Amino acid sequence: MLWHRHPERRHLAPYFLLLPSIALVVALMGYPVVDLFYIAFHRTSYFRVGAFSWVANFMPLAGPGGLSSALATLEFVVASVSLMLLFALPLAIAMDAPFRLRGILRTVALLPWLVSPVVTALLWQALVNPSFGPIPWIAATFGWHFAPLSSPTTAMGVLVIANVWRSYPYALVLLLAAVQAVPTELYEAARLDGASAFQEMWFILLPYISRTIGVVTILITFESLTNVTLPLIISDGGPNNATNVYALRVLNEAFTNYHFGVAAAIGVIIFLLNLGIVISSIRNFIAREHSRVS
Amino acid sequence: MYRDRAPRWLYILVAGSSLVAVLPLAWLLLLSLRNSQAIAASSAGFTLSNYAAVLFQSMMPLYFLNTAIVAACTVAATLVCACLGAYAASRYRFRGRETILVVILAASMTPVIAILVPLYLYAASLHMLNTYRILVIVFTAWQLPGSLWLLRSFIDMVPVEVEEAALVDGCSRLGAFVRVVIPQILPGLLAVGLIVFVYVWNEFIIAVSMSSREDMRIASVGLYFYISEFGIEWGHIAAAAILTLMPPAVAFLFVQRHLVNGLSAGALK
Repeated sequence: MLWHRHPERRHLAPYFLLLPSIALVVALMGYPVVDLFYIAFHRTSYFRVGAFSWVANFMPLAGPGGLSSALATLEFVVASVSLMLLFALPLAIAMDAPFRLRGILRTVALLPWLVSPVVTALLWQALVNPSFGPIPWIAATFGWHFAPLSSPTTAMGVLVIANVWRSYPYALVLLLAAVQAVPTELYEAARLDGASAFQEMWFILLPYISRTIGVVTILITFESLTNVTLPLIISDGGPNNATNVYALRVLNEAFTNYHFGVAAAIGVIIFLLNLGIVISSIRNFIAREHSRVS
Repeated sequence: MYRDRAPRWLYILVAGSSLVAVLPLAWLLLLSLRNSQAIAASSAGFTLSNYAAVLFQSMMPLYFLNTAIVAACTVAATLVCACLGAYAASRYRFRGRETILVVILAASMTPVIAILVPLYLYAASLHMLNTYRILVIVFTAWQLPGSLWLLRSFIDMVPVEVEEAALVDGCSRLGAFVRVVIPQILPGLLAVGLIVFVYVWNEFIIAVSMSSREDMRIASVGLYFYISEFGIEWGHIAAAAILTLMPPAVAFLFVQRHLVNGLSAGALK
């Protein structure tokens, strides 16, 4: 390597070059995380952080409102992640095969990714609007009259569909890259041995891309767990707290109720859930690096 | 390649997904071209009056300007910091290298919503709420880790020998970096610039918490408040939404190839 020949220059230069990145990450991610835990366990009054308060800030989460938030979060994440995978995986396999208009169709399928969360939220709110939205109109032609955002189940359904619509392209791009990376020789060998299309998929393709599926699952779980824009704009937690996910509660406790302590407590929960995801993803990453080297 | 010839169900799947992607957006476009009476009466008849209202009677143009300023500064700051860091990570061997890089990567997964409260309290105590600065700083911090990793994988692909040749020919290290490395990683810089630009343009949560003053909003925040402040005028909202979609869409189509390649280079390396 270039710099090994200049040992005297080896020591400090890289640290200086990395300094801006490290400083920003420590100041705006590392330190705030520590502070988050501090605030969560202290009494707060508007901007003032006061005495140690044990778990008082977590108590609102143990009541019925807290449980419905936990349930809403679980529903939203599990439904979003499974639908995204169900949608993106077959599509990634399909888009790998050559067909006419492939380039254009690939681009088109990725379009929702460019749509900002705010626009996605407004769009789906309009799509299910009972007075002019096409979805209730189509449902009405089948004799089903409903206003999706006024019943708990369908409101959650709208949230999940909006989330899947916007975020599956992310999963698709990563899965497509993995599908494309499978060596053609493996299929050829399998075909010589008389494997069927299904066997090729089950015994070659899926095992080969299983790690990527794992990474993608982690990333979209993370995205869904921390998504606050869609619940805020589409249903604002309602009806009847059915879509009041944890991420949305942080925002409402902080900026509507000015309970910064409670908001920090929910932040702690989201952070810990994410930490689990990060740890498993780093493990996954390291395992991948090792398998590549060996 | 899994199949050499695509069976029919693949066509149906791909075409169906394209429809699912496009139809809602096409409907939004139609909605933006009709006035409120037409929407209420479900009648035809198209007009550009919604766009005129957004462009000449609302604050959206100011919000687009705000977003453009913040986005330009964030892209510049991210590219500079990420280039320096990525170069160090790619070309130097030093104590703690892997640890620093993995910590930076892990930090990038810190959920914004979780640490929104501390960040807001700092911004308030530093009197930086309602400034461009706070948005640029926070956005840059959020985009740095991913950008650094992506650029590192691009710099890794530039042969060291080319750089050494430039040094032998009398270039300084900085000169070699600017003249030899930068031109070779241009697709990477383009991809990172685009990702950061789209991120800033679409960001909502940080922006909505940090700017309460009406004239400091960025586009996504302005769009959100459009609902409450003007009554629900769906034609206007649809027009404002379409206008908000345009810059990232144009930028994406412009460098689409680089974006897809760049992303997969970083993700699966």
